[in-house]
Amino acid sequence: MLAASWQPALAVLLLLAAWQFAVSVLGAPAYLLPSPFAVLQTLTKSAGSIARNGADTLFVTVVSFAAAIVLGVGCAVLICSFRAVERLALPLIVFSQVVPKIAIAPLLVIWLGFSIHSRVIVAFLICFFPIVIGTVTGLKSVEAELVHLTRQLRASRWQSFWLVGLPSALPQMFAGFKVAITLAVVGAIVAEWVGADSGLGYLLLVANGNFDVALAFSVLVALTVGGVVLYGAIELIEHLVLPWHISRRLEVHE
Amino acid sequence: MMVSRRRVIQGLAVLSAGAAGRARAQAPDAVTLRLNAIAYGEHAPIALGVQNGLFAAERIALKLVQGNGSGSTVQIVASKQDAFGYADAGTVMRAVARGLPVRMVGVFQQISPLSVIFFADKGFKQPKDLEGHSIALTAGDALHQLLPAVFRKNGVDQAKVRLLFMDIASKSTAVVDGKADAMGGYFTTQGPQVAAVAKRPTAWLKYADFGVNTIAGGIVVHDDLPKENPDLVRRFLRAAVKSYELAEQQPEAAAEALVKQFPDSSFIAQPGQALAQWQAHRALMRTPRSQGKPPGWVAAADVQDTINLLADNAELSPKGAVNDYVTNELLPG
Repeated sequence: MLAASWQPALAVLLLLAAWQFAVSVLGAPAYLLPSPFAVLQTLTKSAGSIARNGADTLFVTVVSFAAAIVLGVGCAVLICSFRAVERLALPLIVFSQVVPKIAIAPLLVIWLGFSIHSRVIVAFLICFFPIVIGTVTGLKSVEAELVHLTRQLRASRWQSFWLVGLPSALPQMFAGFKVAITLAVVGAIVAEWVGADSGLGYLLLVANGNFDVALAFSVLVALTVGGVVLYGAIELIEHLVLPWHISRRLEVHE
Repeated sequence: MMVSRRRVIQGLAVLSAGAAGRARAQAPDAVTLRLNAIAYGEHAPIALGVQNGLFAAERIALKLVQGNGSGSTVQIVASKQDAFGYADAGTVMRAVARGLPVRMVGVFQQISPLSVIFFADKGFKQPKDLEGHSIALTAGDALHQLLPAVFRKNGVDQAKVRLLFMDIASKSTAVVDGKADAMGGYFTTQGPQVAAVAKRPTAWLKYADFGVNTIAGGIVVHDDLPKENPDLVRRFLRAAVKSYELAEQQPEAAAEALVKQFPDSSFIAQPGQALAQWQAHRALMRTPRSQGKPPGWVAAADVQDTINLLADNAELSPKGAVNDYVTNELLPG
């Protein structure tokens, strides 16, 4: 348990040391790479603005992620239940994914208007796919014998899904959720980049425009911390929902 | 890029090799000029100079490279990947204030092309008329940063103007589509472009006409270059000044040279576009303070005005003298 907590801390410390080394010994100029100390200073000085803009980014991230879960899982269940839906919808979903979102995001903003909704939709489109794929994979890899057994025990289709299908799909679904939450953060930033007057992505644009590398790095630090916390939250929920799963069991035995 | 950089170093080595090297120093210096964007009318004089051998006559084998915004051009020049850059002076000055080792050595655009552009039938005659309307902008660029100054100097209540933020390419679409009443842009390029796309005449309010002028496009170099190889910079500027003088007299030839060298640039793809852009930019080469001076020479007072404007509106903390930002010293005397 102790080992588990000091190792990541050591990794971060090593990174910071290498960073400081690059600045003070190798002499990386401040306009290319500010020192960790300068970033910390900017972070405290601009804490208010970063927190205010961060709240906007967090809102877009969380709302788009929630929407992606509801619609993504819904889509996946339909795809696995009806072959016709699978043949119709899956190619469209794959198409929607291979189109580079960053290229169409500016157009989306014009189509959808300049409100926060368009930001949510851009972020949603970016984080939706892994949830669908994770859930489809999970639902399709349910052991057929188990499903047959529940049917023979006269469980309804719904009961069979609820008692066997969904629980055995959950590990794959959570794998999708974990990819999706990191993509939701990226999506929120992309959306702010192409059309927003607030948020960390907007702040990043302004900092870059002013050659304010220290502020840009501060924003990146805030984003990274936020992203890691959100990822950790999903992992925590996973552990609560899936206490029986193999990844969890291994840890208990350690 | 690496090749050109190596060639610059080779060129420097040859130049400093003394008597033995003097004969070989006649070989031209191969250098790159990084533009501020993909090619458009503002770059026509340089293209003309290259085509007519004005740079070759100064023993410079010049290669023009298209860019991706003045900010990125300045960073590339600061990291010595390209010897010369063509960039917006306001951007260079903000970079200098942040400690980037660059400076301007010739300012060939001294009246800012920054404008608010709209369809002529909107009938905006002054900034005050924009109240109650929306303006499409890109967050953080010069158009965005200096617009509040235009509003302040002209008694516009900023709360009554709706600013819509989007990426650069979307601004024209938003105006054509009616999603925005106006947009921030260069009247020299985007004004005619929006008109052509929508087949509706456009009009514009220039920041410079309403008390907010910044010196604009010019040549930026790394601080080390004038120290290590002042001769190269002087020869480059001699050729550049001649190119501008020629392009002032022969705008058609300049536009033709540009189109010939950049047939793929979408900014000049329509017939006549390059010429119209250069004609518009040609009128921006001098302020009242630099009338009668050769192209590139800029008055210290105009530089200082720009510094003050950026200090008040664009988070520039002034440091050092005017010469640390912009110098005329290397221009042909």
